Order: sequence, then C-alpha cells, then structure tokens
Amino acid sequence: MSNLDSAIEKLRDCQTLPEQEVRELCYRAQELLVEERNVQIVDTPVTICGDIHGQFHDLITLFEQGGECPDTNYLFLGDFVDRGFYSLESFLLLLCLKVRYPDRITLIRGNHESRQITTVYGFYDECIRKYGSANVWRYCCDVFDYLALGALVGGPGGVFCVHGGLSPSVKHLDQIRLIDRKQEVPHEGAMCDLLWSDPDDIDGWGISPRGAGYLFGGDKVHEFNHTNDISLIARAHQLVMEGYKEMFEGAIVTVWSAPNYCYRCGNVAAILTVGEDLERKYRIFEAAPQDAKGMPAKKPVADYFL
Amino acid sequence: MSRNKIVQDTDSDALLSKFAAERAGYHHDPLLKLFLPSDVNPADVHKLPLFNRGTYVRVMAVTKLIDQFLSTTSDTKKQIISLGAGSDTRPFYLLPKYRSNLIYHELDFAVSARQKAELVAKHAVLKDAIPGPVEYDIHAPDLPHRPRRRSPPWLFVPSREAASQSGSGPHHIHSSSGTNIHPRHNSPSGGQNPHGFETPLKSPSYYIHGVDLRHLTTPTLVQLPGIDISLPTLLVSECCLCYLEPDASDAVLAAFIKAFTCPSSSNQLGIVSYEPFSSDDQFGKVMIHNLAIRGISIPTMMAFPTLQAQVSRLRGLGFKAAAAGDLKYVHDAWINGDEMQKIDALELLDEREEFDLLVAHYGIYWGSTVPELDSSDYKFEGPFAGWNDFPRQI
Repeated sequence: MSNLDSAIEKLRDCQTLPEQEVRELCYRAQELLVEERNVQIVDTPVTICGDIHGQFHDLITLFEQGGECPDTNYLFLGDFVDRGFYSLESFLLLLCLKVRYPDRITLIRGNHESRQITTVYGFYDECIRKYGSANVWRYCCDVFDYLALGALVGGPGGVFCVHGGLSPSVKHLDQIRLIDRKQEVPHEGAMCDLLWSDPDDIDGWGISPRGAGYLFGGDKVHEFNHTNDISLIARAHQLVMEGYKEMFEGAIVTVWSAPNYCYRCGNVAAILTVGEDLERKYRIFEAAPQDAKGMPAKKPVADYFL
Repeated sequence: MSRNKIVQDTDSDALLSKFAAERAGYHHDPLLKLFLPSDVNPADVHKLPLFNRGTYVRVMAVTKLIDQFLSTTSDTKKQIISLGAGSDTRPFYLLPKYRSNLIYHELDFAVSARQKAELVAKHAVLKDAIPGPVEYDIHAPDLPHRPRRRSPPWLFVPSREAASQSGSGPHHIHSSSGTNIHPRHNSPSGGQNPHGFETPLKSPSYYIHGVDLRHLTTPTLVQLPGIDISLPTLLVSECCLCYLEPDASDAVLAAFIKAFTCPSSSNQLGIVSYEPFSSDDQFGKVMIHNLAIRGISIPTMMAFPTLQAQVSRLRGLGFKAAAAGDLKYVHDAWINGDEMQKIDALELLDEREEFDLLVAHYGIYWGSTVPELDSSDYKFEGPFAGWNDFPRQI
C-alpha cells in the first residue's frame, strides 16, 4: 500500500478500496496488531468510543465532535461492523488510521468482530455485494483475530476498557494477559465473556439472555475494580438511548456511539474523554442526516412488523 | 404508487417476515411458501434473529387468542371475521380442525381477495382444507395498479378521502363513458354488486370478500354472503385498521358492534387486534418518519400513542371488556419455559436491547362486547372466558 494518506482520503469520502489494497492494508495491520498485548496500555487523555456498527456517516460526525485523529487520541471498544450499510468503509477507515497513526488510535475487539457473527449480521453480505467475492471479508476477519481484547487507560487507578464486560474466570487482569487471543471468538470461556457479558442489577453472576457471556452485578464490578486498582470499567455492547450510562456508583459505564442505531432506534450517541487526571467528559451527538456531505446515501430501509 | 397499493404491499412485509421466521424454525407453517411472490427465491428470504423472534411473538399472540376463543365452549358454532387478511394462512389450519363449527370470513381489498381466491383455486392443498364445495367468482380483470402514465390530467379526480388525506388517497377514474370506477375495487365487468363488495370465494364455511373497509357500513356488512350475526364472532385485525384514519377505523368497528348488538344478534362480538403505537418517544418518531419514506402512514399510532389509549378507545366503542399487552410484555409473560428454551436455541439473539425497544412499540389488544360492564375489574365471559387465563398488561 503505497499511500496511506490517499487511502484515508478515499475512505473519508465513503469510497471502497480496491481488493489488492485492502489485502495489503490488512496484512500491515496484522503485523502491527500482533505486537500489541491482550490488554493494551493507553495513555491519557484518550477519547473512548463505543459501537459503530457500520454507520459510516455517524463515524465521520464522531470525528468532527471528538477531533480528528491524530489530533485526538482514540480508543474504540469494538463492534465496528455489522447492521449498518457501511461496515467495510467504517472498519477500513479505522484500520487505515491505525496503520498510519499506531500510537494515536487503539482498536479492541467486539463480539461482532467474528466470522460467525458477521455472516448473520451483514458484514459478510456487504463484502460480497461490494466485491463479488468473500476475499475482503476473509482479510478483515484475519485482522479481527489480532485485535486486543481490552485496554488499560491511565495506569493505577485508571480505566479498564473492554467491549462486553467481566468473566467469572477473570479475577485479575493478568489472567486476560494469558489468553491466546489470535483465534475466532470462542463460544465460552474468558475471551468469549469479555466480549459478550453485560452488567445487570443482580448480585454475582447471572445467565445472559444473549446466549453467550454472563450478566454480572455491582458486587462483581466493585470487586474487580478493587483487585485491579482501577476506578472505572468502560464498556460498550449495549444500546443506551442517552448515549452513555454509568452504573454502580460510577464504577462502570456503557458508551454507545451509533446514533439512531440501525436507522431505527432514535437514540443519541456518546463518546467519553478521559483526561490526564482521569476526569470523565461525555460528549453527546446525534445521527448525521442520511445524505449529508454528498456521500453515497443509499436510503436504508428499516424493517418493521407490519 | 397509490396509497392502497402501498398498504397492500405491507402484506408482503408480513408474509416475508413470517416465512423467514418459519425457515428459522420459530413456527411450523408449510403453506406460507405457496403465497410467496414468484420473483422471490425462498432460499433468499432471511431476517435478523431479533426480527424473527418479534414475528414469532406477534403470530403466537394472535394465534393463541384465536385458539382460545375457538376452543372455549368448543361445541358451539363460531365465526371469525378477519380484516385485511392478505396472505394469512390461518383459515387453512383452522377450518379442517373445526369444520362445521367454524365460519371464517376474510375481508380485504378486492384485488387482494381475488388473488387469494385464485391461489386457493390453484393449490389443491388449500382447497382441500376447506370443508364443503367451493365456488369461485374471479373473472373480474384487474385494472392496472396505478393510473396509466400520460393520461390527460382531467381523467383523475381526487375522491373525498383523497382530499382529506392531502392527496395521498385513492383516485376515482372517470372513464370516457362517464361512469365512476374505483381502481381495483370496482371493475367494469366484475363481480361487485351495488353494495360495493364482491365475494370471489364462497363455501359453506369459508368466504373471501373484496370490500373497501372505508365504505363498510352495517347494512353492507350484514349482506356479505355467509355473515351470521347470530354466532359468537371474533373480529381479527392484524395490522389492518391502523392504516385507516382514526375516524374511519372507529367507523368500521362501530359498524360491527352495531350489527352484533342488535336484537337478532348473538350479542357476542370479540376483537383481537395487533398494531404499532408511538409511545410518544424517539423510537416512535423515527418509526413514523421511516414509514413515511415508504409512503406508509399509520394514523392510529399517533392518535392512540399508548396501550392505555387504545384500550380506552376500544371500551368507548363498545368492547366493554378490553385488555392489552405490548409484544415485549407478551414475549416475557406468555411464553412458558419450554417454549422459551426452544426459541432461545434457534438463534443467538445478540440485539437484546434493540429487541426490547422494538417490540415495546407493538400492541396486542383483545376485547369483547360482553360483559357489559364499565370496569377494569371484569372477567371475560362466554366464548371469551378463556382469555381470562392470559396475563394482561392493562
């Protein structure tokens, strides 16, 4: 890939890259990601973003709101793909930025960064539609396998970032560091739980209605934060109408960055900036108009039970 | 595209959703595939797990309410009148089961009614489900779906409804001979009688009527072939009346109530209705906007924005005993452990919050003209007594 900057420009206009360029980009990204730890160490200040789900125009709005990369240091909590119409452009833009500014953007894996889930929820179909073959989908899935599982922001007393949440098999962050992450997301176990679990108003652990991961209560959150000397768990994974939601006396927050999710839900989105003193600043934003900025604006059709 | 055509097309939404859920294993309905449009490849019909589950809940809720009505005092002959039935397959399962104890009427746009009658004529498996001899009257040719392009503008004059719906309603076509033709409701040679309805399929226990609900009055209604007001009767509106303006929708219900509360009637009319409501929230606003892009307007969503508003409306119209639950409530309260386990195993439902949000905007309503009490403390009685077993949100 000769010119990353021109690829970024192209992607910013919501244009796809030729298959050969995607292949090269994914290869370079893998080389970079393989060196990352399961729990990446990230400095403050950093702006933490939740699910994107292929809502490309809203991702552009997110950068307008939070500042462009590399001026702003970003951490994305996963679920870049599926559901929206521009999973490919969204993920490739983030990946290009990662390769171009590796120290200014951190990408961690969401439960949708998986072969199995993307074949059900749209990313696979989108790749077939845009390239006529599954090659690009395969290149991207190979990158998914290398994404970090979490991040630790701001050192002691800082913020643990993960897509889903806690796991009964992970008491200490070091246990995450032992996982061999370079694989498809398994159906159970620590790696699966980190990407699938949800906080809930219960005590201890509960069965997740999603069919993977667990529900975990405030007691488990406080225990985990205390054991690992962190002040906050920042996670995504769940739609929040108000964009973000703190629970358990502010010990965990859900950040959701896909406004009007699936062009249907009517929610606002949020990003969280964690400052040098670990202070939290939330910024709320709304969905971009469908045909904003002259970008390709295929009218999305939201399904209803008629 | 005319507003009628747009509303008719919502039947394909329902059909494809039901077919996708069927393929995913949520319910067993082998007849659905017969109704698929010819340009649809069954292998291509996929919906997301949240959508399949929502469709399952909706179908299950209506089916359970109907089954309960039919199986309560099951030796009594009963009648179902299904509004905007479209490609609903229920009659082909219920008729063989209840045989001479059930009369089943379907009312829909004339073009939809004829299409269904044609399909029954074509498929032995549908025809054989109907007890007794079947008569067809489907020679009326369809008019084109929309006025031909390039026609002189004076040929198209908005009807009263169209004027009241800001020009989005149906148009009368004044033909050169000076007669008024409703596109797709009347036809020059067709089977419509002076009352404005036609019955393309007739049998002792199953009738398909083509009628514009906006013109349905009590006198027309009681003249529909086979309608028997002396029978305990269940009216079913599965996302049908919601497309009418609230006044027009009220008028349809009032026409039925009037017919079924007159001295010679059974005085036992029930209703099962399914329709979306706006909740006056952001989701509802986006839904109204997204549907408007498709040309779909659901006026009752705003007129009755909550379950309570819709229940009060039904009581006000004469369904004195009325209850409701949104699909989220029905999903949580009506599905027993085994059933839930079965559907949980079908597909991984990742989008749980979205599912809860989505299905919380659709209501299932059930009510009856008996008992005639103005109280929220009623018990359903007679053929509707079985409904007391269903948990209700309101």
